[in-house]
Amino acid sequence: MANKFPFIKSVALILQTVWYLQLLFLFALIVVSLLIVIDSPVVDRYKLKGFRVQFQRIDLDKSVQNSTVYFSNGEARLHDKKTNDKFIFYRIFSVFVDAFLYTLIVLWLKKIFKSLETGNFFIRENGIYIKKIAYAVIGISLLPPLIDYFINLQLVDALKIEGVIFKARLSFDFRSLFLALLIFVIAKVFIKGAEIKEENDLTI
Amino acid sequence: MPIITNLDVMLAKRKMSLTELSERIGITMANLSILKKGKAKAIRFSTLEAICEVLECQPGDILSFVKDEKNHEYY
Repeated sequence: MANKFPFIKSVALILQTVWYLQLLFLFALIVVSLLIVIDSPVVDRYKLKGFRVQFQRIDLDKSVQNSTVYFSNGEARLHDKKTNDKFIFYRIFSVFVDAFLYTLIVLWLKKIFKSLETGNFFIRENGIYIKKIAYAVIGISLLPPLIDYFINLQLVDALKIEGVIFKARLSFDFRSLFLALLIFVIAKVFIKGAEIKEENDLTI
Repeated sequence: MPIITNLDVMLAKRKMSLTELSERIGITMANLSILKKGKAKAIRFSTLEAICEVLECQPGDILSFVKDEKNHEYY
């Protein structure tokens, strides 16, 4: 089977490499987080106080006075001496959630491709992995924006610029949500198909 | 499962081995083993017909219904 489909074998190899890189990244993340927590001189905490803030939309009136600025995640980096240390931990938490979910997706994909290599792939377990991937994609599309929104809410309170009103905006990636829905449907169909196959196999 | 296969009993009565039965009805040993152990989820009429023909018996001689006591003891 594996020789017949070199594509599957190469993807499995790539996934294996990505898996090791993910583990390495998670390890590095834990080390950096620990260094930040213990306030080690290796990591300059002050430099980390900046936050990437994307101005998705800036609504400025003719006069700067009483203008509204919408915050979202992304672009510009703000450095504010007043910014509280706790923002760093929110950001670390956000990165952890993201990295953890991606690692899980890679793990489940790796398992699916491993079964593809063996040839015995139309099994219930694979359908369950696909379903788990759908949940992880929902998590990726919902959790980080929520955490970012929470950070932005805190930032809005922390930042004070004369004549400018800051507002935090919640922005979801609906494409990912639709993708998750699609994966979920595929998983359900796959599980049903695997059940029918099992029944067929056990029909003498 | 409340449906039980008495294939081994019938085979003993006819003094026939599982290998011989599998050869005569054209079903693999693996599949017959599944049927004998009671792991099968369904049986085709054609299979039942072949088994009955070779063993010279009725479907009722091979299959029997026994009430599953475990599922009913709390009712």
